[in-house]
Amino acid sequence: MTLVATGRPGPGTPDRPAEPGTPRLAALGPARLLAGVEGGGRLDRVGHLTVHGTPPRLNLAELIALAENIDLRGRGGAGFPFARKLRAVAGAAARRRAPAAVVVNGTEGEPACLKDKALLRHTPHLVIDGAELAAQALDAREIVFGVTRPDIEESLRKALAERPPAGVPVRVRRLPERFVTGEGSALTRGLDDGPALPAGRKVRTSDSGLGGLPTLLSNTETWAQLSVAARIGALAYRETGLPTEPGTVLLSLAGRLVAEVPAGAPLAEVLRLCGTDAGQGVLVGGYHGGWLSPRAAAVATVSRDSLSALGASLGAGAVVPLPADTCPVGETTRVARWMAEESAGQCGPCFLGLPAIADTLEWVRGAGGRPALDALQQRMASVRRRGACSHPDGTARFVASALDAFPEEFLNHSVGYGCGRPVTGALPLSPDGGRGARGSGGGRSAAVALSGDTGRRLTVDWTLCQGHGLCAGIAPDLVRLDSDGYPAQAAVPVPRAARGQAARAVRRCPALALRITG
Amino acid sequence: MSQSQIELPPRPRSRRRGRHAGPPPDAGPRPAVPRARGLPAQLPRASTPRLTVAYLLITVLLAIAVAATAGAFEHPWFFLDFGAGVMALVCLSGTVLWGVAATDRMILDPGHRVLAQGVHRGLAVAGLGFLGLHIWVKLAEQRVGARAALVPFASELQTFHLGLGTVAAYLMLIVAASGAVRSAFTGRLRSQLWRGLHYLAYLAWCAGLIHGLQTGRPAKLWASAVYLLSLLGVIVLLAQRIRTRRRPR
Repeated sequence: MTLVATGRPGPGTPDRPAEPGTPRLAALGPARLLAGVEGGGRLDRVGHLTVHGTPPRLNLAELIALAENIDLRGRGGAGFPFARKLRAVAGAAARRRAPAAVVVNGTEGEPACLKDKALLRHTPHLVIDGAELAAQALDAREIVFGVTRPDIEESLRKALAERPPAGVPVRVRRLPERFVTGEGSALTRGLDDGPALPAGRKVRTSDSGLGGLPTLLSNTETWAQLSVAARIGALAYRETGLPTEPGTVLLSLAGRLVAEVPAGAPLAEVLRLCGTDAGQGVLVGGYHGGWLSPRAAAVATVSRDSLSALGASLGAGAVVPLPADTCPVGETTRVARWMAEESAGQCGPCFLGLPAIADTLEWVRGAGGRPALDALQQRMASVRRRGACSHPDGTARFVASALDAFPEEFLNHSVGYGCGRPVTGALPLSPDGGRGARGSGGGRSAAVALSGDTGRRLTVDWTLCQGHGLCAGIAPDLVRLDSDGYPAQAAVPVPRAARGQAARAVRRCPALALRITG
Repeated sequence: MSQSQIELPPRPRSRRRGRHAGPPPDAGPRPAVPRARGLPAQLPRASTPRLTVAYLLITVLLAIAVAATAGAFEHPWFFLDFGAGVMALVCLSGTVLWGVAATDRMILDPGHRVLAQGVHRGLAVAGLGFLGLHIWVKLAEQRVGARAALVPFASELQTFHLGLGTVAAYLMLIVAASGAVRSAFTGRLRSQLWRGLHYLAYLAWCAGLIHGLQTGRPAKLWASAVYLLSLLGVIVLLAQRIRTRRRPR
């Protein structure tokens, strides 16, 4: 494998990044998405056509076959098969005799994630091509780009102005820069001029998304991958990567480098690309992800199978090694505090629970001993599955993974034997000290699957619940309140004997936040 | 590392306050049992259908007793003529007051609020009953025609004050219906719609008050004063609610 653009400038690499804060680009092996921009710069329409050629037109069946052949997955974190999503949208549109809509998720709110912004900044036409391809195949009513940064919006608008008029109208919309903006329902609501916040009810975007239309929503990189695959064809696309996971993956490394690597590339090699090693451990999958120990990082490859075998997941492709000169406990606390501030403030367990987790982490750091560590476990348990989106779950997962990865560090800090290292801020947060903007992409987000039985259940809408607590008195057999005053569980099965209680709880809830589902 | 470093269990700060009056996040070691925030022991935990019937029976008996002391059985027609409207106004005013009270979270605990909701609903049913009686009696006595009773502001006599009564009755019916099928209004948009519908109660109440105090016999001063005081109380409570409504985002 050839290494392009490491520490020293490779061919075509400018001496410095175009703007401060703009990550460098690099490729391990052949560059596909980043072809023509490995050294930075922006591909305008002519440059884009020179490098990539004219896009083909595919009909729906061909597009589905292509996506299936290359096993294209959503690259926003959930990894949902794109062909299945495409089929669901086409099915819903045919069933309801409604036009479909196409949404490109370019919000990418996680500060450790840079790849979507890089694509839209450097090679926007590739992304637009992908969305147009699907929109034409679906005969969609419109294509909407959701972004959060002004410079990205400008790059997109410039690219759209460069293009000849397409059959499908295209719209660009800037949304508030917040971690949860990228969650599927938050994005579609924001694009519909509503608040860009996760919805309290779980609806499939493929059934009812933008303006209630069946909506094909995917992350920026997914569209770029589709665009490349349509041009070069499935066989050529499969030439790189693994048989089970063909093609390349875009990674955001250490908050300063966007790298296109073939699926299956060794993680150690990838880390060398940004001039670092595993350090004390490697955070994979961003701030809703988990840590790999240095030993695990040495054997890991950039693939779903390898990472899930090691108990991690690639998520949206953010990889951050923790250098040896910083305190892992301090870094974890810092990120937890930031995540708490990123709560949209809709769901009580989240906006009360996440600051409590951050507070408790500070207590652990301040030599809180065993009580502090126990309280931390309790705090994490009390936010899980108690929000409209995956933000509380993801944050708890991140802290839990840090506890697993650095057990001695946490133990030592908790009894007062600090490590003496400063907190250098190796885990990037957005520079303005908050207001990031990407949640987990599509599927992993709102759809926290509730395990088990069929039948009716009493369900809490966390965005409406205000912790009045009347339900616990009205339906004592069903609802138990947690220590924060909110119901302990998001959904409880309703046995036949308790149906009356459940109905009364729904009727009497002051916030109208309960309903019976199933 | 000094000794003092070990013995510092900082109480974590609570970051948000406001209408979400959940207890502040408190990281101290606490037993896993839920807070004793549920129902006080002396209150019924949840009303079963049998209990509801019992409550209804007690309410009816109480109403009969009140009616009896007001002379309903010595001069039934006189009572129906003048008392039904008064009772309707008293019950529906009580409904509004108890409804406002049931939303309080500063003084009442959840158990008391459930009870307050029960009183609110019971009074509403009683008030609608008296309202029906009142309208029927006035129609039967031919004090108003059917058209004047059904169409607002269609009466020749006391056009405005009588019309307000009709408007109030319609609005109260809408409000009562929205309360009866409340469970159909879950979800963000529908809950807002429900609130909008239920807020019509304040309009209905004001219209009803003017109608009640200005139509027919001149109202006693003390009665007007009591109604005025309740009106002021509700306005203060509502202002308080609107002030604390703003949620942090």
